[in-house]
This record gives sequence, C-alpha cells and structure tokens, in this order.
Amino acid sequence: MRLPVHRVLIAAGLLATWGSLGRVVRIDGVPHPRGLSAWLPLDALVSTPGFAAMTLLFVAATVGFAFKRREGTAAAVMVALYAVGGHLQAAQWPLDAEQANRALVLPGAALVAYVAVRAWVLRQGWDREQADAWGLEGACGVAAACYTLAGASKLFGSGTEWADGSQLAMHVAVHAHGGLSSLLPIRLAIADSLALCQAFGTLTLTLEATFFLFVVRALRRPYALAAAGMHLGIALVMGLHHYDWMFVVLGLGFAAGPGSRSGDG
Amino acid sequence: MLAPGPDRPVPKWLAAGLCGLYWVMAVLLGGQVPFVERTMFAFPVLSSPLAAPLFRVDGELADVTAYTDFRGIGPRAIDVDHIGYRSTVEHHFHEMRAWIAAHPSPPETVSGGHPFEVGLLIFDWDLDGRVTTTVRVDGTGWAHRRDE
Repeated sequence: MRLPVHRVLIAAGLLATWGSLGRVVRIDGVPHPRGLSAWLPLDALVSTPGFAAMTLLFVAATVGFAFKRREGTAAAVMVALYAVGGHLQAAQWPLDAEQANRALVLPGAALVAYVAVRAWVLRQGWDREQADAWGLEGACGVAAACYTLAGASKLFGSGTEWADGSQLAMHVAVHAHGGLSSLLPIRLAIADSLALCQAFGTLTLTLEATFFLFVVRALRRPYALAAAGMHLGIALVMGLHHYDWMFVVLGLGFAAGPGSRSGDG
Repeated sequence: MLAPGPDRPVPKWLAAGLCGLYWVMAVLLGGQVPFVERTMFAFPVLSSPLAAPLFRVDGELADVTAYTDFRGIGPRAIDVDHIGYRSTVEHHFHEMRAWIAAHPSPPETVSGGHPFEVGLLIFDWDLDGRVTTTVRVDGTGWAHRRDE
C-alpha cells in the first residue's frame, strides 16, 4: 500500500510529540495532583509499564492515521492520550514551576481540528477522501495560528528586545549546556557573536510573526521548509528539539500537493 | 449553506477560518483548555544573571541521568530555589533533584565511583554585552556511570 510522504511526516511529528511526554517516568507518581489527577488514581500511568502501555496504544493509533485505517478514531485516540499525558506531566510539578509542555500544543490542536472538520464533512454525507482533505486543511489553519502566536508572544512580551543580540546570546548560552556536550564549543562560540545572535533572532521573529500566511496554499511549502530550517537551527544552536512541531508542519505543508483534491472553493 | 457533492473542493477560507478561530480561543481561553495557549516559546527579557544547574563529573559537564548510585550528597543539595538568580531552565533543577533522590547509593557502598559536583552555572554579561559564565559548587560526592 502506498504511503504518502506527507502522512509519514505528520506521523513522525505526532510520535515525536508523544516522545516529549517520556520524561514523566523519571518522576515517581503524580506529586501535585489537580483536576483529573486529583479525582482519579492515575499514578500507574506514569510508571514505566503504564507509560509503555499508553505508548503502544499511541503507536497503534499513529499507524492507523498514517495508513488511513479508521483515521478519525485514531486521531481522536491520539488527542485523548496527549490530553491525559500532558495533564499528568503538568501535575508532576508545582503549579508555580510553569511546566506546561508546549510541544503538545500544535500537534494536539491540529489533531482536534482534523477530527472536528473531518466529522463535520462526514455528516454532510461526503466521502472519506474529502473528509481527510478538509481535516488536513483545518489542521493547516491551526498550525498557522500556533506559529503566529509564538511570534506574537515574543513581540508582545518583549517587543524587538527579543531580537537583541545580547538577549539571545544569553538564552543560547544557558541552553547550550543541554544535550550533546560535543556541540558545546560551537554553541558557546555562537553565543559569543552578538551579530549572529541578532540575525538569528530577527529571522525567527520575522518567520513566526508572518506565519499566518501558511493559510495560503501557494506559500505553504516555502513556509514549512523555512520552519524546518528554523527548528533544525534551534536544535543545533540551543539544544531545544522540537521535531514535534517541525514534522507536523512539514507534513501539512506538503499535504495539499499535486494530485490532492484540494481546490479553489 | 454549502451544497453537498462528491467532489466538493476544499475551500480556501477553511484554513484562514480555523486560524482565526484558534486565535480567538487562545485570547479567551489560553492555558485553560488542552492545546490552547496564548504564549508560546517566548523567552523573557533579561536584565539580571541567570542560573542553570551544574553537574560535573571528573571536572567535565555531564548528564546527570547517565549516572546512578549517588552518595556524598542528597537531593536537597540541588538548589531548586537559587535565590537571587532567575532561571529559564527551572525544570532542569527539579529533574536533577528528582533523579538523585530516585538513585541513591546502596547503604553498604563506601567507596568507588566518579567524583561529581553539583551547584549553579551563573550566566551574566560583561561590559560589551557578551555572556560570561561562573560556577558555584554547592556539594560534591561520588556516583557510578549507568553503563559501567
């Protein structure tokens, strides 16, 4: 069975997103239960066997989504697992520790859009292919919003200060110490170049603030590739790995390619 | 009202509509429902030094999760409060403390392992705006590599 590249990319992003929850097993139980975890004894889900069981279910759902086997149900299962996993991860930390997992935001919201739009299209009596295409288009809109909000957060929070070389140099230096220590000298050298840091900051801010243009199909691939370049650069320079967002937006960017049933409406 | 049809193309407005809807939800409900956030990946503007957790083995920076059987210090040696210093990697302090708490040395172990240090990496600017790093050691002990 032929597996379209965009579905493989999206599935890779969804798996990477699930991987961002893997740190829950490093902490025993749920020390700061609130909401759902205060009502239900969910500690077993963050044990190694519990998380492994959830992972198996997630992988099965991802395969279903990728191969378009009960893709609506598969996407709904992934949304539920993201929601539960994200809640448990947050409840492992005090409220003031600000431990929200932002990796979940775009993939989770995009899946919710996919499920909702797909269900609406099916209710109209249209076929599954159309439902899938409409669902992916809805997910593209959510992806555009998430990146633009990331840019707006920087602009409204700190204005153009964020693109100031000495500010970004500090963040690069702090984050440089995470991940591969072999990259530490390169990262510290970049942090030492204020002009380079200013260029990186400006490019990031420009790309994110204009990412609402991702809703325009003709611009989708260039924006997806630019976002991938940004994520790879951030991973290399700062050790912050967001392959979750990167693969999902790459897949969405290439979803409405030649041969798709997307049209001008 | 949209008319149903077997080959109805995906309308251009759909992505723009969902983009706008998400923005509205983010402004009204950001942080209160799953997957809807108003602020994302925005580092704060800094004007004072930052701290990150220090873990050095044999004098080299190392990943704490590559080690086990910690002795000489307990988890309280990790200064999660780092009073006087802000941090943008707060969770690293908590994770390091949790890891050391979960992997203590067996009581009968009295020797062996690699010497390690914990404390703070403190980042500040020099007069040219370049970042400087200093080290504050809060405790020392011994630990074994997990792959040994």
